[in-house]
Amino acid sequence: MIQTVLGPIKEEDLGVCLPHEHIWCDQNYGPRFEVMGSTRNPSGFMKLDNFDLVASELRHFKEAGGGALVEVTCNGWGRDLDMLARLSEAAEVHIISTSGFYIEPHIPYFVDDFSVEQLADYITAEVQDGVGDSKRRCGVFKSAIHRARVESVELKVLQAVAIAQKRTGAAITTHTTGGRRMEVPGGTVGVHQLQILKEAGVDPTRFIVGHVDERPDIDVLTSLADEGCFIQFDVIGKEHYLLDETRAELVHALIQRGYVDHLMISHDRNRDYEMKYGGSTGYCHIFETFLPRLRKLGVTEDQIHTIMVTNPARALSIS
Amino acid sequence: MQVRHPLTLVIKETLPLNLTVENTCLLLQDLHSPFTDADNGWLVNKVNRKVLMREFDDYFHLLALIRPNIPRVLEVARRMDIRVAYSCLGHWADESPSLFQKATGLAWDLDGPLGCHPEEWQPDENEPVFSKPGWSALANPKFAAYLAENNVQNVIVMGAMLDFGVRQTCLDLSDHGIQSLIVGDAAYGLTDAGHIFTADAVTHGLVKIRTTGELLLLLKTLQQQGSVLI
Repeated sequence: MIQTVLGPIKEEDLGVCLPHEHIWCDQNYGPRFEVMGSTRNPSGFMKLDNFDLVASELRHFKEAGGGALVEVTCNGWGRDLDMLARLSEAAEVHIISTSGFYIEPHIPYFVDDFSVEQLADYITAEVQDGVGDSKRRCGVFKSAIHRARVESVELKVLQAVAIAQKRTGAAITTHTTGGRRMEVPGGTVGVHQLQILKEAGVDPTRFIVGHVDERPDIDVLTSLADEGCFIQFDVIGKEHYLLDETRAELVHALIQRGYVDHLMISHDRNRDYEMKYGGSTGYCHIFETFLPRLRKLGVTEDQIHTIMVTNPARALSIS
Repeated sequence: MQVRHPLTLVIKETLPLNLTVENTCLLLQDLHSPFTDADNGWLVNKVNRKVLMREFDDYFHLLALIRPNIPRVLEVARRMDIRVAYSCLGHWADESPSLFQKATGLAWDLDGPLGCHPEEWQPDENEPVFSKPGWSALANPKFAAYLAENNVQNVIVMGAMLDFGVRQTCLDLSDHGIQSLIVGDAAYGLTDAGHIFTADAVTHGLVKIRTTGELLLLLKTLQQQGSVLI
């Protein structure tokens, strides 16, 4: 079973899935603004808040063959499951919402006062019982880092997520890089997150290491996959981190080394200018430009199906 | 078009800094009147006279944004007895203008009003002010000697001209085996783009950047635990 904002669906009904996107968010809600620094320009913040425009973008995705998206905006910066439900109905795509928390500047202050156990109870309830009055349920947990190591309040969140994962079976998806990526060995704190999760008894096959294509190190990625983790190329199209051409070559190389069952791909769209209505490719970038690159390198349709359909369904399945 | 930083894909990670009160120095660089007096400083007067103010819009906007952060960090550092030093482009009366100063015209006499700092971050009597013959604070060997004499291993930098002087100082510190941390929103570039580019580029394995909010939390930990790993 996969838990969407409109209720549970069967794994085989998920379809082509983008496992790391934003649909409705506003970084201006981030409560710990000071941590972000006073020279950050709010006009560059992540923000999607126009129902009609976002719905049209999701319809483009549907028309291009898309079936589902994981909306990774968490509590603390504009997550709205009722809005996601309306968008899901309007565009006829499945949307999976996310429990857990994003990076430190976006973690609500109440988290400071909760123990790890209390926090685990809180996010477990978001998956098992639902959120707010409408009781729509989340289908995945998120943990993120703003620092170069997993520490402080972000460590508390990861520890709580580990407990909640074991209770519910829902997968953990992570933010592993960001502005600190040059400070992290191998470019991803996925290794550190995995260590903490394993110590807490989490099965590595329930762990999706996100943002691996901001500063990829193929040796680190294969070692994570060897542990059983999903490795997610999820900022496809953001070429200031890495050229898409390089991403395609890395995905191809990982497939050739036998890791196709561990791969997922997505865009992490979160701003108007990244969308079709903003003059870019929106949620269709992978269809329009990235899959052709993979095919040109010799990646087969079966392998693409595994990456975009089979693997997300397996990752998002809650037994 | 966004700038790419492919060097980050192949280098090792930036090594952690281990800060203690004793091994750390807070450096205020180029925060004296010529750069920071937005009403009557050398720079603002110069660009006004030459009708170039629009070219410096970003600079003065960034200065206004970071201005409150400098005294906040300074006040905490002083309260914790962290060593504080100043480095200012210009020369004392008994020094000659450097080649750099002659070439650029940035040859300010630090004994006069051009050597003054704003009230919010005036040097205390026991805090040394070093003249700076070029972009780097280490262009003055007396500053390097000061760091060595005091066994300084980490320098926290706040200052003007992130994309020129602050960047150069941090790279030179690294060459001297000293680690540095830039307070990203208590330092500012000449332009928005320069600020962002430098903040990304300078961290390639050498320098750390933290916001004022982050640094104050880290200093709080340092105060509680005696050291803090960044």
